[in-house]
Amino acid sequence: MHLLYPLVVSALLFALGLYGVLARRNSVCVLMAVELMLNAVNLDFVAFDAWLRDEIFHAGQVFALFVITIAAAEVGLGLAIVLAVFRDTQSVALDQARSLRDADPPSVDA
Amino acid sequence: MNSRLAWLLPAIPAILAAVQLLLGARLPDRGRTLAVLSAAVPLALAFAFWFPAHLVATSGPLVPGIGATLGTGYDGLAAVLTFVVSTVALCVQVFSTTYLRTDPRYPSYAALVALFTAAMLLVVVSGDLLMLLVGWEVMGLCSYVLIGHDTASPIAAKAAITAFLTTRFADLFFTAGLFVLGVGARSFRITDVLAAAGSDRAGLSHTAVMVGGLLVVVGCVGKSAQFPLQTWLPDAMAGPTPVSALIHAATMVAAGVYVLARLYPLIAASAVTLDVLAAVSAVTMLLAALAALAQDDLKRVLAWSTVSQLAYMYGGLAVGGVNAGVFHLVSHAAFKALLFLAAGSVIHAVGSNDLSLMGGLRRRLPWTFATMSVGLAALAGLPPFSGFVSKDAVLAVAYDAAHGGVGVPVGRGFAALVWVSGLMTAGVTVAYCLRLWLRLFAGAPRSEHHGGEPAWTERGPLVLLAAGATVLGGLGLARHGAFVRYVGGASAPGLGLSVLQSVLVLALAAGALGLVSRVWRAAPAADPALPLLRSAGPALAAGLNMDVLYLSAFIRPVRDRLAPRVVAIDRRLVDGAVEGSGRVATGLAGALRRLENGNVQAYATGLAVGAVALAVGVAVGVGR
Repeated sequence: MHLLYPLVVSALLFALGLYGVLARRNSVCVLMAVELMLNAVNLDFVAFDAWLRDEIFHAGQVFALFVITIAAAEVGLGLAIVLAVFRDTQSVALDQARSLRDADPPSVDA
Repeated sequence: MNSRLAWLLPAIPAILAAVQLLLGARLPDRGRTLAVLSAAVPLALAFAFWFPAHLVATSGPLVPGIGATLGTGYDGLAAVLTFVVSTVALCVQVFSTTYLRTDPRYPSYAALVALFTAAMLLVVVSGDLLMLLVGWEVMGLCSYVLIGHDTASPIAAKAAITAFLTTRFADLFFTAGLFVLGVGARSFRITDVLAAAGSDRAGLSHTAVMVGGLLVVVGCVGKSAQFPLQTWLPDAMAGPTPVSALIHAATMVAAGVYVLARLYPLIAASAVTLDVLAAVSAVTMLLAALAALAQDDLKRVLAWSTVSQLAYMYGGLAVGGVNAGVFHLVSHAAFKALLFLAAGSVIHAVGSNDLSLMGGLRRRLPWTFATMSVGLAALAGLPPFSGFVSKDAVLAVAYDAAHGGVGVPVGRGFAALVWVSGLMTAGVTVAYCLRLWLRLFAGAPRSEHHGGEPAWTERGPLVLLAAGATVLGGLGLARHGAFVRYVGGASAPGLGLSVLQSVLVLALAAGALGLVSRVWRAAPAADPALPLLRSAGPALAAGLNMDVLYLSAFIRPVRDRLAPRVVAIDRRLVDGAVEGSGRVATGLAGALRRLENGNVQAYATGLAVGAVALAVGVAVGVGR
């Protein structure tokens, strides 16, 4: 199979994920979009592993396994945070959670 | 005892002063023992060291790069001064134990007097110009604080500031002079500097010797309240009277004489320096003596007379009479400390400084009367008291120098000026001494007195100093050879008296005595100075109105013209730059802080845009 097909699919997946991360308001959707981006990268890893014929180390496949592990941990942590925020504010809307923004400007003496 | 331990002289009073300052108020005797020890221990050490035959110098590294060392130098001259300083300090400390017994701030007062003793002894034993400067400045600080001892009095506060500013102004020149000498000689050790000034090929150029010497002389002129920086010393009489005796009569104001004597080969190498010194001293001695004649305040009479007598010492140094100048320092320290301490007794007995409230104190204060009469006779230069010998020794050297016979390059005209002015001053001195004596002790009392004869702790120092004022002159003549060897070296003119000149001085004194007593007999209750001075009296009483002159010539232009401009420049330029940088930073921060709005997706968008921009940049860069 030509390398271009998986790469195009991966790029589309990544763009979809990026759109989700940047544009969705629902925190859970944002986490899912992050998963899309990670898996787009996984697809790249596997495609390049096959294309480079790395028979000894299979570095691309190993890295894909690592990414899957990290993605599982990340989503566990992310969902826990979303739950905690929801318990506190009754909302999962990402653009509402702004309590860490810069406060009112301090007065400056002339 | 080995005089390599001379560093103990300033160290012990300094430690005692620190202990006294910290604990004095809590001790049962309020630190009186410590205070007396701070002067008694240096006096004992002075006896233990006695008079070294030659300079015993020690040195340790202080600042290696510029040749400054931490060392002492103890020789005959330093020993003479150590005896003078510690004896007067002991008298003053003993006197103060009862004189200031009701003062709630006695502990800190005594600590500062002890600190002053330490600083003065540091100046005396210092083997290095920088250490000398440290002692010099600490003395000025103690003087400032002690003048302002009476915190309730605005006059004392003003006088303290005047004294501080005037002496600090002169100290700028002094510091500059020491650095000219030290940097020029590539060493701040006094022996090295003198050696560099003496050799023609290596070391100090003639210009450096002249400039450095002149700058040091200006510093001494300010510290000793010589013309034209004399105004602070009469004002400084607002301080406690024992302080006036120690700092403003016997030691600190005479420290300049010691410094010039210590650096004498260097000072005497330049004719310009000696001429300036001679002119300053000739003008000062006569004007200050006339001003003393016109004062109505007991302490101000003594202050002006101190200025005048210090000018005798500088006059002696200027004409090559380093022995005579230092000898006059010693005898003056004895009789002027005596006069100030006795004046303190009088002021306590009368309750005022005002001469017009005194009179007839002879019977009330017999001890004070006897000792103060001795002091006034010594000040007036009546034989056989010490002032007669030391003053005539100065005048004899001036006479020789006017005939070109002393081996220092002072102008003969300037030496003659010192001699003539000194003779006239001797006459005026007799006049104001007699006037003071008559105003204090003769006639009928002019006010209700509420005090009597002082305690023995006050009488003891008076008697000791009166003995000094009596015998020091004869002692100086008897041990003449040893004194000359200790102080100025055998090459300098000694303490020779000429009979003809003594007769001339005594004739002048007799004339002044006759004049004043004739005026006084005509009107015993009135001030004998008024008919003598006539219309010049008020101007002389105000110290020739030099304060007014300074006000219009320096203070007003600076305060009214220069100061507002400096303030404007400071506000607009300096403050503007500082505040402007603050405003610019705040403005830039205001633009940046809009980005920090808390929306993580906005942050992530920025991240993505940045990553894309980087990727595009790298791709374009690689493609090129």
